[in-house]
Amino acid sequence: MSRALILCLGDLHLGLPPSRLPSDADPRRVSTASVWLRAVDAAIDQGAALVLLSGDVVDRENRYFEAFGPLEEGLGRLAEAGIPVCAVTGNHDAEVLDRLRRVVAGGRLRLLGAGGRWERFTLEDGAGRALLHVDGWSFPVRDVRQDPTASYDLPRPDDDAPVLGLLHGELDRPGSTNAPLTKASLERPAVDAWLLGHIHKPQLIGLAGGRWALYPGSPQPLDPTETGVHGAWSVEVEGVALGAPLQIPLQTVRYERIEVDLTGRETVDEARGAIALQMRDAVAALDLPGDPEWLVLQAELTGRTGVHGELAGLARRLEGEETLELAVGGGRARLTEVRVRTRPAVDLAERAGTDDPVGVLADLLLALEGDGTDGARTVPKELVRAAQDRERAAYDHPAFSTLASGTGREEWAAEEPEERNRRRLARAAASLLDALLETKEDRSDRVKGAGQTGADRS
Amino acid sequence: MTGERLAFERLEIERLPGLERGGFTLEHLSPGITILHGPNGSGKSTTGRAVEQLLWPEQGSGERRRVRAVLTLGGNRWEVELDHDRESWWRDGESADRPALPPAHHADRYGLALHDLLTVDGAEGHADDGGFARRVAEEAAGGFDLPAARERIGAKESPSRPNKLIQEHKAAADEVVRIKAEQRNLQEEAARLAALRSELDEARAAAARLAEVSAAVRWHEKRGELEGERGRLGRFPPELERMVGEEEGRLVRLEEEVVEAERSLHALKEKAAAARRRLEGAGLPEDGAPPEALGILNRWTSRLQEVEREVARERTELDQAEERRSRARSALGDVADADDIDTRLEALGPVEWQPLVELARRAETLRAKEGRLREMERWLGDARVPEDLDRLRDGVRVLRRWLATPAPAWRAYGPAVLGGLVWIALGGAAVGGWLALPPEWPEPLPWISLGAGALFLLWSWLDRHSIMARRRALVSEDRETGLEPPPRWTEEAVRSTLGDRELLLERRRTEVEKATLRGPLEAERRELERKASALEAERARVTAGIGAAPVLDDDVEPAPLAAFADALARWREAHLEVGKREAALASLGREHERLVAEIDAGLRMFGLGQVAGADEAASVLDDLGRRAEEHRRAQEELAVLTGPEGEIAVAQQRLEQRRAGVGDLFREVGLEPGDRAGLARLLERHPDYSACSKRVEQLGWDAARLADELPGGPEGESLRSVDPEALVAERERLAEVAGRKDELNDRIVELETLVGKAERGKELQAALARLAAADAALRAAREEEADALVAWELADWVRRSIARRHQPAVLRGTRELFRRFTRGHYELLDPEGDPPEFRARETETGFVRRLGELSAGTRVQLLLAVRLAFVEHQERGPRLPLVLDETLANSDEQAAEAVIDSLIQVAAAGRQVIYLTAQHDEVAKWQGALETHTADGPKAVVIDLAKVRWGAEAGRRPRLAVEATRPEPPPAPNGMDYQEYAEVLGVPGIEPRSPAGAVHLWYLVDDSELLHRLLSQGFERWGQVAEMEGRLLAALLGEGDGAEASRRRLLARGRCLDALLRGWREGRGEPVDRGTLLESGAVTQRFIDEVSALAAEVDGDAERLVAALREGKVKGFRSDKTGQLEELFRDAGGLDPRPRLDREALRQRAFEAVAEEIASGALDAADVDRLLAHLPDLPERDGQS
Repeated sequence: MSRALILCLGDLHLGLPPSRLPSDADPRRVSTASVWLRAVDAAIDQGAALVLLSGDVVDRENRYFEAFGPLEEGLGRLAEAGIPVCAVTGNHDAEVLDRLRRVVAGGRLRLLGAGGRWERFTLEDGAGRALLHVDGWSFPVRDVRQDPTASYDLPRPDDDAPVLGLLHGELDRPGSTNAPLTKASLERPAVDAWLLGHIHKPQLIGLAGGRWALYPGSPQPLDPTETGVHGAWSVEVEGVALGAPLQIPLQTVRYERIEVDLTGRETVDEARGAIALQMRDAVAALDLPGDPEWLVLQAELTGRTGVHGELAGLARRLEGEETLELAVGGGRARLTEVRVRTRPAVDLAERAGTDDPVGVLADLLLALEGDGTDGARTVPKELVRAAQDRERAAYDHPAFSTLASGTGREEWAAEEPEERNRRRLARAAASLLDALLETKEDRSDRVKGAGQTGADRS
Repeated sequence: MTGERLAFERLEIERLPGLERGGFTLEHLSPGITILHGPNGSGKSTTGRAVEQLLWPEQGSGERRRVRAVLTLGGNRWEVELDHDRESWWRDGESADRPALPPAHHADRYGLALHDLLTVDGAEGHADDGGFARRVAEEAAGGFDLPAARERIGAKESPSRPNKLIQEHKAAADEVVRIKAEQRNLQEEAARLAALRSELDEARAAAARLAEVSAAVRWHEKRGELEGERGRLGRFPPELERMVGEEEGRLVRLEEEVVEAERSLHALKEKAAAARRRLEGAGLPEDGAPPEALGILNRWTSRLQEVEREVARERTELDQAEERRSRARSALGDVADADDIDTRLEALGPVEWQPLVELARRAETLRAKEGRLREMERWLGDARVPEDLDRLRDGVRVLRRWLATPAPAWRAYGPAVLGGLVWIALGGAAVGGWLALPPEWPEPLPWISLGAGALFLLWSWLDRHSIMARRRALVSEDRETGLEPPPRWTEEAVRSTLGDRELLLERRRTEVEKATLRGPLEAERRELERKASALEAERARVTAGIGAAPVLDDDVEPAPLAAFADALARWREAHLEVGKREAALASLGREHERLVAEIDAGLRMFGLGQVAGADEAASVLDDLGRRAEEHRRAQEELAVLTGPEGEIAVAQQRLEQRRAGVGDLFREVGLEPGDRAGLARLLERHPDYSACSKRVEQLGWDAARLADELPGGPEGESLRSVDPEALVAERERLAEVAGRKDELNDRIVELETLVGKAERGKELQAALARLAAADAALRAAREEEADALVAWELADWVRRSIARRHQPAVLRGTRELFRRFTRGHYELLDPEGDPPEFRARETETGFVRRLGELSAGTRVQLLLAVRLAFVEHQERGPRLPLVLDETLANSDEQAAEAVIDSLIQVAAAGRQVIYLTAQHDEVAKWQGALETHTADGPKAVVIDLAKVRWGAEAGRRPRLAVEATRPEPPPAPNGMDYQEYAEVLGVPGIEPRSPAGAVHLWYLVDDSELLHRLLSQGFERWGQVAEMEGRLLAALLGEGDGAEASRRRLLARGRCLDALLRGWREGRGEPVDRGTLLESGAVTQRFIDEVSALAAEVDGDAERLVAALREGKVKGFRSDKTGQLEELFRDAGGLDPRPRLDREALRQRAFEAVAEEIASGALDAADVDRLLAHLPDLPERDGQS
């Protein structure tokens, strides 16, 4: 019985550098190209019979040249090893990959489904027997609003070789401009399994009849939202059966989030120490297959702490600070982003209800912590509206209009505007409450100091 | 309970941080106004903190504290205790919950710091409206400074531009755009690569076609030229075609060669003749001398030379052997002269040798014995047996015996003689005494004593005499030996003589020994002489037999056998050598003769004569060799020259060839031989012909080469056959197309390089990374801006909420209180605007003033009003006391009065007011103000904290009474002396355990008038002026230079006082009081009262307290607790292990502390002594207190 190993890759985004990396990270070692070449090595080392690319091979931001050098190099090495490569285009490389196919001479890359027409590639063994049929469809244009599987019109082959669908599209997001897909549409009998592209987080989705659809994810994570293990996937074809996909970690960068509880920390130094300690523990608890060179951490500071008001400054200082660096396997771990989600060390219930600013703020914070309609404690609508207006004023301010021409990447931990504004309001209320108490303390100290000038203490 | 007054009645402060040296209790506090006055350090602030912490234990949480209080609330008597963080409340004696009180963050609302009210944020005259309005708003909001807090969190009303980040972002974005544009352009350019490559191919094809067409054009041109030249060449004479143009030169060279050949032939013939002459001159047969024959002759000659050298060598060897034989023969002795000795010696065989050897051996033995015998005889000399041997033996023996007899000395008999004498003396005395003794004494004893003494003396004499007699006998015996006696008969002399005699005796014994040996020696001599005679006879016999024998005479050295045998061996060897050399010479002579004969025979073959020896033969052979060589060479030269192929024949042939060549030259060009004129004519035209011919040839080659460049086949034919003009036009067209080839190629290479570089590059990736970073930074800034804007909105909302929901009530209260405080003079108007602007209307005139236009006192009243209005608005429970812990000294008089007046109203309205001050004049002000409110005024109490804290101890000692609660203006000195004035003032005694600041100024100011002035201004204690700023203090003390001197003196005395008090406390420990005892934990509640009383009894002296406890002054108090207490006292300073200073030591300590002041004249010794005189309990130097 013939066997063959297929190496599956998706969303290479060649040419796009991973974001939020430490400034001293070596660009050559953390680039998407470096991981693509590692995948090539893996394919050669493991004797892959076929390499499949499920779209977005080239990032649109860098679609002219820089992606092509490494891609061509990798394709060349695969060609030398006699490993064919099949690819479809995605929303990023719809207008690019076809050019590459023309540029790369000698048939090193087989582009399937050009022009939005389903196309089949058959992998054969040495005796000319079909091992696997790959039915692919490529983005003809950048925006595709129809489900491409609706136009699937290839006949079921008359041999027993399995059929693998190769497609770039967005699952379960109706209205998406990135070829919206549904599980139902993937469960057509003609296709035994799907290799999909577009979602950067690796996902293996079970389909009816023991079939599956695989988002291999970006082999190199590209921003802090892409946590977890990334790499290529291998699928074994044995006779008429497709084996279960197995992940091959290849990433040189790994993003992770950690939560740091600062409850009870009363000084900035204590907070800093707690962050270092909990960061070390969190890193020690991580499983890091593939031994990435950089473990890039985003910390979320939580808990009730008396130093809440000073954490924003501490967070800015800690981001990227080399003294907090840890050695992890053969790589390094660095904190590059710190988000403050702590609360002031004030008993809000005790403070609430008094006719002074602290009482008013304590009431508000308790209301914000609840669902906003907690009996007597309701977040005033006019305040919410005003805060949203203020937030919008900041977002719409011409000073930040230049952001529209930025990379256009998704915000980390993108939230709904209402939720984001609510959090912002809570943050401001906590800070203002802290500041009120501090200014009062400062004033009291000043008065005492002035009153005791020239006096012995009793 | 709401609205009811909570008033402290009793306050017991046992322990509170900052409180030094034990606690204190304040009794009978007024529910209205309580004025606590006392110097700094007396506990005012502590009292304020105690009140605050009792009501809000959260304040100071975690501190070590123990405070109790009794208070009234709602007609009930409440007690409260705070022990660390544990608070306990009792109502009317029963445990109760804490009454509902305002939250802790409002605690500060009840602690009014008038200093704050007077100075902070413009309550004073120079304040601006905005600051004061803000302060009023702050007070109305519970003291929270909302704008400050808003500022602190960085809230913003409108967004700002993070210009740096925007610029960085823009720069990064521009960079990305720029790179993208470049890459897009490059891509567009790269898209043209195919077209460029096509154009390049076309240009290359044109270039290739251009070469062919150009070649065809050139071919056609060459072909035209070739045809023209060929026509011209055909017009030259045909002979020229056969000429090369160098015929004249060639003719000259040929003729020169003919001459040269003739000369050469002649020379060769001359050479042949000379060779024939040399051949004849050699004088050898025709065949010459064969080298083989010459070789044989030479070998023979060489052998002959060798034989002659061997003969000479053998002859020399023979001579030397004969010489050695002659010398050996001479060494054989007297036989050497015999004529036939050589023959006889030669005939000696081994048998004949044996007698010779035996004779020699025996002669050698005999000679050895004779030598030994002669040695013995020389050693024995003429020895005889000595005659005095026996006498010497006797003399030695006698002297040895004499020495063996010990010499008697009297001291050896000392004890015996002494004993004897003693016995005799005793006996004598006894006999003498016996006559006088009583008759009952025994009679024999004295006689026995005398007898014993005599016996001792007798024995001594006899023993010595016997020894001396033995020695004398030995002297006589020595004399009989006839030997020389010792010079003296002392031991030393006798020992010396004995040594001499023993040496002589030893010599005599040796002589006896030699004499006994001489006899056998004579016999041996005779035997040897006999053997010598026999041996000589044997020698004669041997000599007679064989003609030679060794000489046996003693004079012949060395040993006869060795010498004779050696000579005989040398003779024999030399003799054999002589024989061998003679035989060799004979053999060599024979060979010499043979060789000479053979050489002669050889030489005769070449006509040469005989030779005598080797040298002559060699000479002849050399000459023969030379002639043979000459003969051989001449023969060879002739063969070379004259042979059929010899040089002469060759030269002859060459000459003929050269002569034929000249003729051939003419014939070659078609002329008759010798037609030199014809030849010259032709040669004249030949250069033109030759040039034309070459031109034709060159053009032909060129045309052929160009033809090769043309393509083959029909294309080539086409090019050859086409019209040349059409070809030229085609060439120009193709040149234009092909001219772009390099340009196109360069452009393609350039584009490919750029594409390759771009594909390998990371410029855009790096720019995207920078843009992402800038993007993130700008987004973060945007978030910060959004945070700041929302924070502003929130703060504003809080402000509006407070203003809407709470401030109206507070402002209403403020207006009411303000009107009351100002006795209706002013009315606060509703604030206008946002932020609110406050104004006040003067009720009498209706004039509206901004707050900045109000007097300081009125502004303070407004602040008090708003503070109290807030407090009253917030108070949901009881009315809590106000505690005012500040001084009004040096502040605006009007403001102080306004404050006091307002506070009296507050108290009158049902709120306890506790006023803490260090200033007596303030107390007076209060009292003055209270007197005006006697009808409606609250109850007021004035408490002297100094008295509360140190009053008990101060009271024990004589002190000057002072009425603190009702201070009268201090009496003027009016001529009183200093002491009298103190009594009038009621100056208290110095309490050494109190701080120096608590000491009355009388001790430091000795100018009664100045003291009066200070007292009049409310300065009574040293602490009030000690820390005053220098300029103020000088102003207080007067004017001019004198004031500065007074200030320096006052400060110097203060320093001296401080040093004295510190010194006084050494060794005395900290006083122990109830608080200390409680804190120790060693005294339980059961014993605390008794032990505290005991502590008071011993004036808080820890040492005395421990001693009293050990004495059992407190019944039931365990001894281990006493030990624990003692240890605690020691640790806590209650027991000071240092010795107490006596008066003189303390004085000295003070002098050391103020040495500088004394040196500067600010202080003198009298000042120190005067202060010292006021300190109690000071022991004198002799230990008397």
